Amino acid sequence: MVQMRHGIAVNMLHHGSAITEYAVKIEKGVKWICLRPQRELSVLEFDGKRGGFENTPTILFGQPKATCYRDKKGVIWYSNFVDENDIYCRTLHDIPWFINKLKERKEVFEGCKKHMSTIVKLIKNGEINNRDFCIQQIQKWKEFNSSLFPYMFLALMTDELIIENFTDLINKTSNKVLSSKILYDLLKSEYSKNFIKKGKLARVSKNFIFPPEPIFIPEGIIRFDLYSNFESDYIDILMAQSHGNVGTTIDLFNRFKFIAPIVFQLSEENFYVMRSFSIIINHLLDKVADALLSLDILSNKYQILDYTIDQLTTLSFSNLDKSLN
Amino acid sequence: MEIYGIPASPGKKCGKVFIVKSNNSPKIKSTIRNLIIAVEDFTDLGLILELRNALAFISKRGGRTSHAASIIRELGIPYVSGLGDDFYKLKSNDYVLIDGFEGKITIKERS
Repeated sequence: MVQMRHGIAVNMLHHGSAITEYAVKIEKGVKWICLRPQRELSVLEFDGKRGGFENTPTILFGQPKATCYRDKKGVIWYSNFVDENDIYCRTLHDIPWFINKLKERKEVFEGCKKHMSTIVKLIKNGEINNRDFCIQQIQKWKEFNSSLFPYMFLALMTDELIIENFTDLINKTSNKVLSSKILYDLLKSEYSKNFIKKGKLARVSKNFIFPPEPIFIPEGIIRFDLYSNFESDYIDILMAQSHGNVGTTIDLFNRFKFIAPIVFQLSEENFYVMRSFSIIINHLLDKVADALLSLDILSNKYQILDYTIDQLTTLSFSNLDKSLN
Repeated sequence: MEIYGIPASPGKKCGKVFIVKSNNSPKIKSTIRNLIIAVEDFTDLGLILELRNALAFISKRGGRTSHAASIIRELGIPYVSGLGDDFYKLKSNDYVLIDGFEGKITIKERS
């Protein structure tokens, strides 16, 4: 399906991405959307991420907060949420806004990465056996998510849309091989490069699991200086065309050329930072679950995911010793 | 026969297809060399590093912007993703030509 908005063809096919099966329902006159019908969140995960989901329209567009709920299956539904076409069009046509959001995002992400490094050092120093430390960090994770998630949506909802429309533009005005060559030069990620160098294994499993995966700290930066060796070939092809839209096409090409590599890298950073943070929290939950299991409060570790973070805090403070050993 | 997917990493390679399933043992995976690896989905990025001696990759799901595609491009291995149900037209030991620029897979010889 191709939607027209602000005069731009918006290709809604996501080619197997996580938001391919975007669902919509109307209940009592309220429109609810579900970005990932296949993705189920536990009570604890939803509680940890809810603030971020709700804050997204406010942080991105200064609009009222969204409403969200977790259905019986654990799937998340949103009302008054941001629209991917709005993010797409704003990004493409209001580059100063996009740059401003990038600056805000950088501050939040850098703060989070710094905090993660500190927690990992403390875990290595044995603080993982301290009840107060574990509970504080799980609460801190929730706080960080409130500001991290809105900026994640900058790329999460639009990266494929931007890159597919960029590809379509080049394909229609030149050829498929040239579009691949241009994109391969532009879609590069320091995070992937470092992942290969370190040889660490990172499952794409997004849920908390027991036992947790090994902790890893991702390394990477967002590069703004990526260019393609084939850009001039494309401009040559365009200039040789006789129709009158060349200027508009070149303008659109330049916008995509600037935005596409950035949103791709944002998506990579989202993935590696959030996975790393989740794994760290997973280790702390594992420790708390061990202690609750030994007190017969839980009969298996996965039951810890049925509590909200406040419930878990109350449960831990009323039942567990300061030391979780 | 030609099958089209999404061009996800550049390069052209010819070789035999090996379909990797989740129940393939790690021992089998570690001995895979000089084959074109077909996998439904790269849910485990570590799998790519285990299979880095592959000639090329093919997958049923995924796109140009997936984390798997990013890693495979860094490794310099051709990759065609997002074949959808056409993925099942491929069989292990088929001899194919994979074109990572056009997203095209040509089945040259059937197993």
